[in-house]
Amino acid sequence: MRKTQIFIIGILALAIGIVIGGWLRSSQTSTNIAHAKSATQTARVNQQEKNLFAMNVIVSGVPFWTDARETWAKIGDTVEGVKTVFGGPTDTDAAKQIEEIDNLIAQKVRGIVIRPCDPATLGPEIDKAVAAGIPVVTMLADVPNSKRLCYVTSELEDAGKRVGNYVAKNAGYKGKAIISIGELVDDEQLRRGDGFKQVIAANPGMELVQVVEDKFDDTKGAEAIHAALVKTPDIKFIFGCDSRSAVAAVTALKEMGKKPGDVIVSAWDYDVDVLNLIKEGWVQASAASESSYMTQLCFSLLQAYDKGYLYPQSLPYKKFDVSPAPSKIVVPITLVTPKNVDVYSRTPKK
Amino acid sequence: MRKTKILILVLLGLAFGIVIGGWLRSTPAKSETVVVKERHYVFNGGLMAQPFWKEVISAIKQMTAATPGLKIDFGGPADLDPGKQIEELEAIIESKPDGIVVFATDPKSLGPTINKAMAQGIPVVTMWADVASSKRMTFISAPEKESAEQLIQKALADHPELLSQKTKVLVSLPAPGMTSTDERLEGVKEVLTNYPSLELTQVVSDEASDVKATEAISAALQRNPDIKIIFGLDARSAIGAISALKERGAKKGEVVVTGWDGDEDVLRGIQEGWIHSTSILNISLSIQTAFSILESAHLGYLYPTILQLKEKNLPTLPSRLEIPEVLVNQKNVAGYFHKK
Repeated sequence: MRKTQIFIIGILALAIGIVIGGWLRSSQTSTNIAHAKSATQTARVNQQEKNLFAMNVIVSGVPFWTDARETWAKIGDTVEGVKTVFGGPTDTDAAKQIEEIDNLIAQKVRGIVIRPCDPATLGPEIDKAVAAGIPVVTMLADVPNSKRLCYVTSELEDAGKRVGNYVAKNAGYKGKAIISIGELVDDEQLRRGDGFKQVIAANPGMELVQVVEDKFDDTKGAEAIHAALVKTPDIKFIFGCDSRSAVAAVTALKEMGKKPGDVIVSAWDYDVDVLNLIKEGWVQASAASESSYMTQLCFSLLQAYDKGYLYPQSLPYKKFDVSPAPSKIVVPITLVTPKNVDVYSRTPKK
Repeated sequence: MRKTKILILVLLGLAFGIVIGGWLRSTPAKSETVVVKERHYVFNGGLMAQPFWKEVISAIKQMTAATPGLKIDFGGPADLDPGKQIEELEAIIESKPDGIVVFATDPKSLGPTINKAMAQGIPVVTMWADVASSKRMTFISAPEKESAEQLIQKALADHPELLSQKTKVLVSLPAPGMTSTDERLEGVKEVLTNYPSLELTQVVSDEASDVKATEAISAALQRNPDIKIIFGLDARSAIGAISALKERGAKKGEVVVTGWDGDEDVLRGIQEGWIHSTSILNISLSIQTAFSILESAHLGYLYPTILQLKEKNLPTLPSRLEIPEVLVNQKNVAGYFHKK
């Protein structure tokens, strides 16, 4: 009996020791890195729970997002300690987007990149995320009245001017023009359109006859542009401001019996069908947003915030409420023309 | 005796337990430990003794401390000698780093060295001073021209009295030919074309040194004592301007002086009323952006794999990326003093 008691006491002491030993070890810093001795130059690092970063965009199913989605996924696959999730409504429904953002806030994601459906409606939702300690970066369309960290965008007016000047030159800067805009309440779309308007205003031979709304949709866009072409049959230019407007324009032109080159069409982005239309001569040029790089830039801002190095340690930014990032960063576009169109043809994923 | 034995047994049990518990906890389960590839990048600049670089060093330290496996070396010549910088860069290339960020001391002569690095698979990003003829991946900069325009418009708006009379203007910059300061000068000239009463009397070279700026500006003031505006386009030119004005017995505010960057004496000059305003780079963010590009190149997500940019040797980055600057004047200067 006594031997049994002694045995139990011994076992208990051992068990308590194991618990204490484990606790002591785990209380050491989890960021300790031990450099590996091998020549492969690697470092061993304690794996912490992966931090989830989210990207949530308008009309998330359209081909325009392919590059951003792929880059976002690759960031999640390759950056240490990071997981990424891509989402957003398949249409322009701001209520659905708010619902999704609510869900991301509840999941305590570490940062959100958002291409907002409706800047006016999304403001309080972004502020809600920020209040929950989640930094938000707006991409391609801003919510200026919100507490977002930064707005990363592509050239807008300047891109419109570059594309507009390139294609207008092909027709000697003469003729009537239509501008096709995704939505008339969308700041990004309006500013792209402003670039085209500046080209038209600068050339007395050009005249803006109508601005149509294509709702980022080929069918709706084709209907709107068709109606405009019926109203003004001698249109010479159609300037598209979103990724689907040129496809809509060509559909309408075909319905009207036009041939490639009869009307000068410019596009935005590089959906596969847009690239094909450039090759076929229907579309003369497009503005390629550097969406992959913009995605990386948004992530690098969120990562810097998350890891604590966005605020310079040596400056009292927090004390004086100075933002560590500029309000806006503009990433230049690339002009896609028949000369370089092949580069933008997407290869099937391996 | 028996009690002592029991006590020894308990102590031994505890000791063994602590050792075993510690070992069990430290033994990495597969899901808990990962091997992180070490990345070794280098930043190489010029005029390295200048206070401007303090924030760069601090930003690099913050990044490396927070990112496992990340190592960034910092260096460069103490002056603007491109020969020395080329020598340093050649040695850096020999050490085969994973990427280089360069503040170029000369817009032309560094081209072949940068191309050599690129040819060896070492990506190079230029920062704040470009080598446009080289094959660098991208140039991270500030919208220099626009920043100068913004700064000068604000200074003129705050001094409308200078617009109603013939006013002589002086500009001080390090030396002609440097991308960033040339663009700032372009911005100055563009604004001045809108105001026929403003006359650009001279552009002096100060080699980014307050001593040389003082000499050059003193000489200019000697020739044109009625200069009323001095636009300083580098970190030291406003300090040189103040010294030159003090030498002539001028009082603060008699001549409108603007500076560039956020050296402490420039910020103090703003607080004291000698300097109207300055334009400050987002230094930390620019550094983070440059190294995040090298990181994405190294980790393999820089090029979208579904496009053929890499295969066709075309850039995946814009040729230039501009991180906007901040206009700092008496209203917001307190936030830009470095902590002691």
